[in-house]
Amino acid sequence: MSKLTITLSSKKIPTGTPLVIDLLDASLNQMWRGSVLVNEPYPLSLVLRAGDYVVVVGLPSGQDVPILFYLADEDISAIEVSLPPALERVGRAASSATSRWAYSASHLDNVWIRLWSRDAARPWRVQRWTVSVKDAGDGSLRGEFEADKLPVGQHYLQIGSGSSQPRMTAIPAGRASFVLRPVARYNNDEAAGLPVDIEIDAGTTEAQVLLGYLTNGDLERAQVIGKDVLVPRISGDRRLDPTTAVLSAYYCLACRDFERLTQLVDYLSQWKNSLPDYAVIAAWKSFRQDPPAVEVGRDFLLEAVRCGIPIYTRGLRLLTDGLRMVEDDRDLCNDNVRRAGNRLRQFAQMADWRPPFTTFSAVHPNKPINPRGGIHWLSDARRAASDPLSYFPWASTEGEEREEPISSAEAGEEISAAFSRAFARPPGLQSTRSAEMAYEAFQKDLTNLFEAAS
Amino acid sequence: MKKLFFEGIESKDQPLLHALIIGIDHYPYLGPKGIARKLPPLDNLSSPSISANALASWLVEHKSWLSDAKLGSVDLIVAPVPPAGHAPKALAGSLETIGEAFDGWFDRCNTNTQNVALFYFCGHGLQKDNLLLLAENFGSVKNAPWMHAIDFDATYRGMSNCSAQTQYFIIDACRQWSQGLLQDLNTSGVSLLRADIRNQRPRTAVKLYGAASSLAAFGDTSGKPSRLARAVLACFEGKAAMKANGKWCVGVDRIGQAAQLLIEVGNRSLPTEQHQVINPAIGEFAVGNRTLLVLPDGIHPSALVEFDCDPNEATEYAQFYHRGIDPKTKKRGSVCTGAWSDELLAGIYDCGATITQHRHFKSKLLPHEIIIPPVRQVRVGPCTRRLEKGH
Repeated sequence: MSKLTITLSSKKIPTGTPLVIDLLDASLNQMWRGSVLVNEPYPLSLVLRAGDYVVVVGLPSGQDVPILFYLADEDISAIEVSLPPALERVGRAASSATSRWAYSASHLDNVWIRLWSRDAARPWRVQRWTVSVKDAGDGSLRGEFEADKLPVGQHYLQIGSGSSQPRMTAIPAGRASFVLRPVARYNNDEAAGLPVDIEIDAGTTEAQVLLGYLTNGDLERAQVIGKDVLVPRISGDRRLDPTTAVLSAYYCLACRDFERLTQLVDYLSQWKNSLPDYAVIAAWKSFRQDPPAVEVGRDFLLEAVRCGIPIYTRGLRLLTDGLRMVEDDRDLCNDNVRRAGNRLRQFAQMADWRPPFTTFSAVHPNKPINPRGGIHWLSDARRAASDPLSYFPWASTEGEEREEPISSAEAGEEISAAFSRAFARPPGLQSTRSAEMAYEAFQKDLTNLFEAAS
Repeated sequence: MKKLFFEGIESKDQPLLHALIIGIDHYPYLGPKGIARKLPPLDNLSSPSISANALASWLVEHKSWLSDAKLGSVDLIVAPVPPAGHAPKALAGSLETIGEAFDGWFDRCNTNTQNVALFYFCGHGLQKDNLLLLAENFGSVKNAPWMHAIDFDATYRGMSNCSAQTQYFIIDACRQWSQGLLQDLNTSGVSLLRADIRNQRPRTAVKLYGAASSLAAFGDTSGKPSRLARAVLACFEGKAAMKANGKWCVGVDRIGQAAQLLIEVGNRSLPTEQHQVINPAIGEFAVGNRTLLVLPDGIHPSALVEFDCDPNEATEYAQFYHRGIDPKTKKRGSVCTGAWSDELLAGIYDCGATITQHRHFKSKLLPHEIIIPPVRQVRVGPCTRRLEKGH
């Protein structure tokens, strides 16, 4: 008997995307489960008799798609099952969240988005960038930018709208794009919130599929992708991008695959100065190994806080939890731990724990703010612009006037940096340039999404 | 505190499922008096005790469905609102009561690595850096209200010290912020047990939240369990089942996704502001999947099936029907035109839409549609009529 292969064909999902399928017999009894690559034959180590069978395709969007096929002859060597086009969607969003939504001017009016970056040695700056926003055809908007040209470092996409509090979402360096969807629901508390949610697509297709399964609570399929697809790549591929490597490491940490975790921690160490997730993962590996190395783990947690905020929400949770546990341990806690814990909690308290990539309300990446109010963002900024000294007493205009005109690029950089400092610098520290100039620059650099989309 | 069922605890070799189920309706220190004291603007609830009772009763009544871990204990803590005119009794859902029950539950779970620890909380919750679950006596201490809130995240971490390698946490509570909560720098609840960082045991520990971060969970004011509780019970009864080796089994790794799909279907018939977004957050899965329940022979799981047309515009003119091939069932159809949903036993069906007297749309039969739990969308089509020239 010839070797049987199965091909899952799709016109919409890219070739090579790994998806988990179940093969059932006619009485719906599970015969096999595994991952196959879309549009590529997969050898099945099964002997099938002639008859009806069912393939259930688990999409990372949360849908299960059952497809019936009839095997006419047991000598057939290749089976092909096709995904119904209407059901093909590989994205993470749960099926009902966007089904009846179409973007409109009312959703996007006043919505703006900007890109913040820093490397390990420099302060945060607003990046000049070009973003193209397109209607993705499924009720969402897709934004593309040259993310692969971002330097190694930390990056946030910040979105804002009207008087709502702006929100930062971490993006990794490397291939990344974003999708805007309407917020899942409104209630009275959320009336002043942002009208759209941002979803980041980053890393390899395999990583995105794993993240999709995890986001929708599909633990069983996440484990198949992790075990069959991601984990084998860890050993062989020394060019794994940081997003995929970090996600793989969190996966190995959750299932305590210490052998591969050790390889990944070693691999991730090349980004140890710019990727806080590295130290978070290394810390928890130290805590969970046998015997645990708790002092080493504690020091990694401190290193993570020094480096910044993890890019994955899972990392923020692990860092917050780890520091709490260390603070509760009399032998491990010290002033550095307490200080790091206090600093981290400023972010964790303002975090949105829903998205997979770390998200928190903030005017500036160093200054998380209350998502439900506190300062009223735009009106405050306007007042700050008109009277910076009274509003930001630590921002100063004295002796800062320039006599010679400067180029727009030069002005942009200086103004952006000044704005950053005006919002980020705690009172009592070094004075900065004019907050007014900074505010003007901030306004100029906004990318209005409605304009971009139309 | 009510111990509904308790057996076999002395047999350390027998894996057991131990459940701690908490439902708090009564918050005597919240409401207008609490708001005046700048406590979160929350009031009494009505469905948590009903939800907790429903889950506890289900476990006891279906103990024979449990897989290798038999039912060890079900500790039920409910704090309903006292009837009007009745003097309030001692607080049944106080933090002290919960703490005492938790200690006993932890000890029982801790006796065997193969035990299953099931934790359910229904009541008020608030999210900041950690999720805080409010005990009945929340707010009773004037200047330290948070001392009667449970820090769920810390408690979850602490459970990593427990021997039970399968742990399931269902938090049927809101995860919203309140202005006061955000501005209060001293919000921190109480962990029900201290997490020892030197004793992190391997476990599969799944979390299922009734609300995504910053959103509300929804109870029911008509005397029914909450939406999440109903979804979880439906999952137990087969909506999260897969058939393996001839048996329909419910594993811990499938309940979250199935519950999410069921809640989403429910959302479609509700106004947007009542949509519930649950969060099947995956925690640790160091010991893989675990089958919790095996449906007895003769119990066949069902799926919620939604019918519409391709193109969608044809749906309002269509009457849908289905006829079972395996299992064999008679033809059954919708009474009127438009989108339709029905509960069908898992199997293979002929499904169709009847559209009469419409210029653009025609009837269509979809033979051999597979219906599997929990939810199946059957899109009948294409229903577009090819028009002749001149029309």
